[in-house]
Amino acid sequence: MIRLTTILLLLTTSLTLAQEPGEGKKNPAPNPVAVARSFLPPDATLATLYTFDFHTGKVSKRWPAVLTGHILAPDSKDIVFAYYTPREIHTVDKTLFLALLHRTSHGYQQVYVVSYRDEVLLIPNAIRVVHLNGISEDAVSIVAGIGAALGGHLDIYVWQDPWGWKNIFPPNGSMEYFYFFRKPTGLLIALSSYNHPGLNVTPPPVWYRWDGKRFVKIPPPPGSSSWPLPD
Amino acid sequence: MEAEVSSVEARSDLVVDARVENERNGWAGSGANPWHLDQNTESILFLTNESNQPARIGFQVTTQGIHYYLTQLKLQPHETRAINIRLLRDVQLADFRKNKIPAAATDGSVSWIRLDNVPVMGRLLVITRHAGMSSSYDCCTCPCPAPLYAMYMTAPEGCDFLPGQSMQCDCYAYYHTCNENSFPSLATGAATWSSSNTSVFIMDSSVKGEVHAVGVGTADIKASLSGQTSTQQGPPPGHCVFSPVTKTAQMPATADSLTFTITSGGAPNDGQGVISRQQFGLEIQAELPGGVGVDTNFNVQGVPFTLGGENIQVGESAPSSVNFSSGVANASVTIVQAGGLEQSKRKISVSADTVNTDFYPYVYMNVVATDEGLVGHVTACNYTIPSNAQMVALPYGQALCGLQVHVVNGQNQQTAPVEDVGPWCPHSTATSDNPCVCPADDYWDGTGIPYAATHSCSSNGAGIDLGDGTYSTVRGGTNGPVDWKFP
Repeated sequence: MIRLTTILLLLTTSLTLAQEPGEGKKNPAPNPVAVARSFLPPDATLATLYTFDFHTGKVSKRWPAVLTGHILAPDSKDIVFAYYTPREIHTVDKTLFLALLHRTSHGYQQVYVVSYRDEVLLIPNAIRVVHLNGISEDAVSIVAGIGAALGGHLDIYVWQDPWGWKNIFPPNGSMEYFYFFRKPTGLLIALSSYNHPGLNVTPPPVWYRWDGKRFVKIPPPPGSSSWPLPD
Repeated sequence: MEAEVSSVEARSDLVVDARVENERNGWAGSGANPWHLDQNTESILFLTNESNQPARIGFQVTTQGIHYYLTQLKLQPHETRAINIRLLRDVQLADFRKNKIPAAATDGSVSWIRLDNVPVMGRLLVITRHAGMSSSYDCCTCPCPAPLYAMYMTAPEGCDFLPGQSMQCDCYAYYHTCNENSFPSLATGAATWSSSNTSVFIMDSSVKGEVHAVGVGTADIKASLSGQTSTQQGPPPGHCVFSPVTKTAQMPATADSLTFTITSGGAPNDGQGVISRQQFGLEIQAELPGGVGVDTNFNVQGVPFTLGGENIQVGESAPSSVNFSSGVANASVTIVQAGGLEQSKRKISVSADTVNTDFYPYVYMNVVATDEGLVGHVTACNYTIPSNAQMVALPYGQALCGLQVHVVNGQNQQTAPVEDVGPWCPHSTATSDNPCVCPADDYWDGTGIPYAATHSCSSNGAGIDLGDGTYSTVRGGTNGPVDWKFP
């Protein structure tokens, strides 16, 4: 199976009924989940994010994979959401989409969508809105993969006019653990294949630091030799 | 015919809505319909009679080599019947052959077929408490109703009674499906009964099957079903010979029946299983009708022997014919691949002039198993792995989610669903953590050897990943070989 990642620039003009104010009423704050649902294509279902309680070994909370942020501009009100199509998701034959909605004076428009064929959101909190020092817009990170046994990859998207979302994170794959550490010196990210099935020896984790312009590979910081790191 | 059915699992508030269809509407019946029971899993068969007439159902539970039948299962018009496999097992009620479902049985298969030409829907639900419905199977894919094939008669112990006494006989109609499964159904009331010598036996005029001995001698008691167009497809109705003088009995003399026994090289703890790429010995016996012993007069040379399969793999071997001597023939066979992408049975045919000429051994794959672990991660089937997960991963990228796999390591075994893709394959881009660039690796439907087992990219050549719970149960917490099959 070949992973096909397709980036589509959409100039969708879809409007959402969810945000249309009634006559004589003030424009209510749109419900992001309702807005995201209104953009779902037929036979699609919203993906979910979750937190996992490792003491009980169960999912502790689950909610729709819908986030808000300032993605296109420092003051824009944008929605990021993930969905699967077809609706039947207990199968490998599905596609994960990461979509971006931008709010205009005419309502929300879908301006970008990334597709991950045959992939799933791999870990708890697999989608995050991330602030990177030196960039005024928010970035969006996503961890996706075919499934737990084969591991996954981290992509971090920043908006670049007029091209759209650009993945600025170095190529990676077959990783199982993804750690984000916000430090005064900048965001640190560690990737590890710890517990990757089939591996008799776990390769050392790979560390990256955001230097204000790009992610650069760095040696493991002192005190990081104990793996896995706490979530 | 289609319907939407809601099912409620009695010990929780789980409600399952599922579309069910009548057979032959394009749904793929599994043919095996595996059930499983444990602390968290229930298996319930739902049957619904959609017609205005009663519907007889052939029903069979198979486990640990035992076939357990319900021979009087009849649904009233528009009745929905839930048959709880756990209750059926725990009640320990013998069937007409004195068989019981072993009290400790946790896995097996259930099959059913309608015996009357009325619409009946059925599905087996395997419900796992923490994961909801894990399996749902429709009726078999064979044409319904099943054709009547043969008759079988039973009588009290030894057919032993004297003039002036009476006894109640029963007869069972055997219906055969296209998969060679037999479903007996009690037909005492529907059969026509007769005696070949009414000076010895007479049949009761009001109670079907009741025999009265009126004199000393020998006579045949015969039960037959008329009005069944399919009666011509099989051997003539059976008969039972009773001899009140000698106090002996014989069961129906129609045709010999072949029985198949794996005598060497088979799968451990499974008399119906063989190991991929491993030669096994097969003994074929021609048994006298009624299963009373080997037909030592059955001496036939050059009986065609066929190993079925769409694409015979390199390494498979089987004789083209076998010779029966005193009712017994032997063959050495090697099978490599399973019966397909989603099932493990292969077909062996011995074209003797008998009944039961086909044998369907399960082909187990013998591969290295590794621990999936990764609690809290999401699998390719969108399953969030809990602690102690009961699941497996196979390295094929499509359509296997939810299929059951039976994994064995010596005495340790478990049936668990496929919930993920892996290990190693499919993987399109080499990384330091997974250097294997490998395709969808359905090795069980091919060479029987996982891609990773023969390529240096892999450190252990694993062919199956086991969830933590399954890994603990089957492998005891270490990587190593297992045998697995689709049940």
